[in-house]
Amino acid sequence: MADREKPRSWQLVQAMVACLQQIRTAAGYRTDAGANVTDEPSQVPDESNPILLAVMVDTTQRPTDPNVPLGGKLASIAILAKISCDFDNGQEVLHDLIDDIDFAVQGRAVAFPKQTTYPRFASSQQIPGADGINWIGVELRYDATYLPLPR
Amino acid sequence: MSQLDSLRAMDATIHSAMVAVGMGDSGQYQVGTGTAIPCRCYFDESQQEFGEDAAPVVGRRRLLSIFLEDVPSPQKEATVTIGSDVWRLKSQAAIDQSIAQWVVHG
Repeated sequence: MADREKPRSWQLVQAMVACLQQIRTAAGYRTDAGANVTDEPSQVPDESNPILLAVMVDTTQRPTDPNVPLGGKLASIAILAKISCDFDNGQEVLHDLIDDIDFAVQGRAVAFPKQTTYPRFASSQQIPGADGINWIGVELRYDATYLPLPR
Repeated sequence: MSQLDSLRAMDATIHSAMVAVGMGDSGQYQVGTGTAIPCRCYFDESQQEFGEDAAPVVGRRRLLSIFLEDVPSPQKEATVTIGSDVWRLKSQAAIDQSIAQWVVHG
């Protein structure tokens, strides 16, 4: 049997990772978040790389759009965006990071898998701060509809 | 003797006993470049996680308990030097009539 294509949901995550990897100051962005994008989120020491983007498909559900063919799924892609900050500039650096993500995704410079809609921004929410850790973060949600691979 | 005096006397006794066994500290409290004020304190550390999600950032929450008899009102961003460590006060975590606990950063 020939090698099967990776699941579309995983291809979707990979495309989003490629999108976010564009975020480099050398490319005109405000931060270097693209240097540390992961598709396998795990615990991060606070003295490691001072910026982190983690991408994962969180929830999926039946699409509300009646035009999506039977079997299509609406995936909520979560981006966990975290950045270390100084004593008193947390909100400011967070806005820089969010702006970079908006720009990287809206630029549509990365091809997404076949039979997948381009991710649309859905919502974002700040991650509550923790005493003693000078990091700030936000969880962003993007929606994309995809058709699982045919068998 | 008022409640405040009793509490402070008790904390002073406990602190000197703790210092004698190496579990209490004496630091220098300073606002900016102002005069350094000797202060009795305790230093505690515990694990802290930022974000209840798949990629928590793990670090340390450092608490400094400062004797109010020495420093009546500790200020945010003031420093306390203990030995070669300089701790910067970030946010107040607890207070009573005798001791204020502050979250500090190195």
